[in-house]
Amino acid sequence: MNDKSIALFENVVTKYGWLLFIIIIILVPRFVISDYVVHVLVLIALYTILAESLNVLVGFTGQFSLGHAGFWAVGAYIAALLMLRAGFSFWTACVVSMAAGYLAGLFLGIPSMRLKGDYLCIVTLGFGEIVRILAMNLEVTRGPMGLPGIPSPEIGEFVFDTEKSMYYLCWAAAFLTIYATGRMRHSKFGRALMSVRDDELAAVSLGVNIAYYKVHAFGIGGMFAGLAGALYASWTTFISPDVFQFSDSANIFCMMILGGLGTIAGPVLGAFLLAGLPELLRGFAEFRLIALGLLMIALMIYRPGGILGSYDTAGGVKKIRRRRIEREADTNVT
Amino acid sequence: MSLSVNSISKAFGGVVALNNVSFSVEQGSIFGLIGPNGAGKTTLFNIIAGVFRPTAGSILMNGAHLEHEPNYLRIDRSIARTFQNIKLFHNLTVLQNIVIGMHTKLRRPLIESFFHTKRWRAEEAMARERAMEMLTAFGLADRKDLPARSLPYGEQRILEMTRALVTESKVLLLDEPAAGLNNVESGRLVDFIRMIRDKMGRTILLVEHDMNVVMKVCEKLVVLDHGEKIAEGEPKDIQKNRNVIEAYLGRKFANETEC
Amino acid sequence: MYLLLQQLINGLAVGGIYALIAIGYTMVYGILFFVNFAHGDIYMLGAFCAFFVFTFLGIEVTGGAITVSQFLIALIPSMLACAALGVVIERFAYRPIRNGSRLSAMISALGASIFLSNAATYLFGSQTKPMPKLFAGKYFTVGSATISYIQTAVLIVSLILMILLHIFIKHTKLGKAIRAVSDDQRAAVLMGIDMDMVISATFAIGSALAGAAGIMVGVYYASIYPTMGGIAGIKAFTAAILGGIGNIPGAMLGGILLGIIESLGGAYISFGYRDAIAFVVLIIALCAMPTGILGKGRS
Repeated sequence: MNDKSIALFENVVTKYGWLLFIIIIILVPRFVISDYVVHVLVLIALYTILAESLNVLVGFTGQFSLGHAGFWAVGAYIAALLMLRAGFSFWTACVVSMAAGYLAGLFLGIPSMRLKGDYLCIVTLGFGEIVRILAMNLEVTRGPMGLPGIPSPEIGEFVFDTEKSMYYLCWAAAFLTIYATGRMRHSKFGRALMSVRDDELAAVSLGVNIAYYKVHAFGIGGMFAGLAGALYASWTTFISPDVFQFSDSANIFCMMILGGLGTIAGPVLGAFLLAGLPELLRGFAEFRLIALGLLMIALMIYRPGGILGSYDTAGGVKKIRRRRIEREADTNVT
Repeated sequence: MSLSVNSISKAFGGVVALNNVSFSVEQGSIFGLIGPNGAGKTTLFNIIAGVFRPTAGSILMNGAHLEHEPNYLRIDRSIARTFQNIKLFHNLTVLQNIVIGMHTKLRRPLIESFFHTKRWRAEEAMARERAMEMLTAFGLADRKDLPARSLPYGEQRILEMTRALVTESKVLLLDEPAAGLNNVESGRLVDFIRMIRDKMGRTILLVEHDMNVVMKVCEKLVVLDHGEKIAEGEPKDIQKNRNVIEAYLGRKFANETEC
Repeated sequence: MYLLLQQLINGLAVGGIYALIAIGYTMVYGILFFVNFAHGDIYMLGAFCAFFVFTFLGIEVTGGAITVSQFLIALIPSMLACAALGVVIERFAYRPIRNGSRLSAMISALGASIFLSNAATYLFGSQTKPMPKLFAGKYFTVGSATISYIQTAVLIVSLILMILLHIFIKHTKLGKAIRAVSDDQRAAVLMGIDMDMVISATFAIGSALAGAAGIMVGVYYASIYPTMGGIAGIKAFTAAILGGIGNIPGAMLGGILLGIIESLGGAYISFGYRDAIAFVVLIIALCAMPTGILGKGRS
């Protein structure tokens, strides 16, 4: 098969694959009676939103972030407080949460203009911790006691208070996120993000304002994480600082990588693997996380680009280029 | 179009890399910036390209001061560049690389891409069409869907230049375009640069080590040594210039050639 | 005034611990350019190791007390076990991807961390385990500041270990090899330095120091638990970055500084925000000095 037919094949698979996936998601509650399975699937939907939004940052823009749970927490707390204390409806609270996530993203994006790699990593990690510590200490968030009794979304008479209704709502939001990030990838904005990831200097030389794009990548990542937060708060009706730990940020990061960095389907697959499998393997209790650790190591050894990834991370690219230059040099001699 | 460099000085800490260098580039010329290693030509190139800010002096483009403008605005001033060690967007396709070259020309906001509005589709179609035109002109059309990293070295160079050209900038800065090319390839490069000037009307400023290429293609040269301009003129005069020979080969050699 | 002194002493003791862990992060980073997230879990396993040595020696762990010699008897095998563990982790989780990207190394390290902390939870149970105390209840006073023996001991042991490390790095052949590799890997290899050997040694030393930190924290707070590596790891990583990652004196300085900032912040601003203050200081410091206090300036 030549490259063209491979591309065509991939196109068809992607198009119908998504359609099939949507149909399956719509049909699942009809055939699955267990509320528990539906519960796990809602969790996967939320993690899909989180991993997909982190992908905008890391996969598209190449900005490491280990503080995504921070945006999630911002969204959840703002939505919960607005509903509980100010009597907002879920929908307005949700929009405000997204706006808050966006602003928090812009704010966190400012250091990204100066910092790179591991330094950015620790700053984002610090952000996540700061948010958690604030939630732990502020009076309005009731510290470690958390916020109980968060109302469910309502449309007119209909209340989203069952697992199944939340299932549809959360997956709708997940598909919205997938759609938005997918569209973004093929827009001027998305191309600019990817150009920043691949080569900042080259991007600048073509007129890409990299500071703007980095900061806005954080903003958009934060916005969708805020959406996930609002949904999470309304779904579980109870939030506390324990939910939004560093380990969650790391978990979201791993979902994105394992599925395939920079792809749209990758984070979805990662969410299924890392949020779904451990739940389904509850019978094996402690072993599941031990196995997960080993799986992550094995994947990085045997498939460093992620399961669906074709994206070559920086090290890989350099190697390929060097080999190519060497080969060129050889042919030039002969 | 007029690009002029006026009394540019640059110091890194206490080290003076450039001292009071001035010259101007005429519209439609192929202008070369040369000098022995460490002469400061790359520093000057980077100041013109906006990577560094000069310590003193000014860069004027059509009368506007560029020296303190952020780097990414160079394109708006109609100045594009290439890099010595080719800088492509390796994970993106050849076509996407070119389309990013049109970044500042695409105006439709992000929100329209979510709804695929008519105007957005039209703009994207225009960009693709223009990109394909350029790729066809430079013989890369059948590579359009390949990731840029998979192209052979020579084609990567062409792709990078095509990307700089698609910005439609009047001035093209080439940073050692012949680096890594063999004799045959640099011959082709010379034709290529002339073609860009003749057919597309671009002004070209290049930094280059390969004297063969420089003498063949450049119409005017500025020679730097130890951060100072030591000569300016046409290639044939530069070749005989005593200061230049001294800078490159040492005083002894300069004396010998004079005798 | 005495409050300040008190907090400085508290900060120094905690900072010494952070510094010991941070050294491991920074040494690995200096050579392999990735963050070894499993490092915090090695610190945790060091504490558990000591727990088992104490049990083996028949020491009462709940509310018990140990002597200095018993402490040292536990310290040595725990450090050795941690060193071995560090070498094994490097061999299986990092060596196969040494030529890959830094991102895969990071994920692999996260995987190793998840593996270790959950394996520990499975083997030892998730509940907090008691540890015997060293110098239980003994303290001396300077004015109204009370300085416990254990705080002083922690600080002294940390300092001794750091001085030993400094001598090792500066004056032994292996230490010089480590510095050489951290300075310029390619040149070092061309000079005939065995990379595998140097990397193993780096992991062994870093892990041993983390193990020592684990035991000291164990006897300091008289309790250990399988997830204790998480927050301590983050703090130590922060300290390493603050001092300029890749730089060993930087890690020591960063650790001590972080400890002091934390305890001062906890005392003068708000105890609840203690951890947040440390991070805020870090973020501000990084924005002002993007490569840390003693950073190499590499991005």
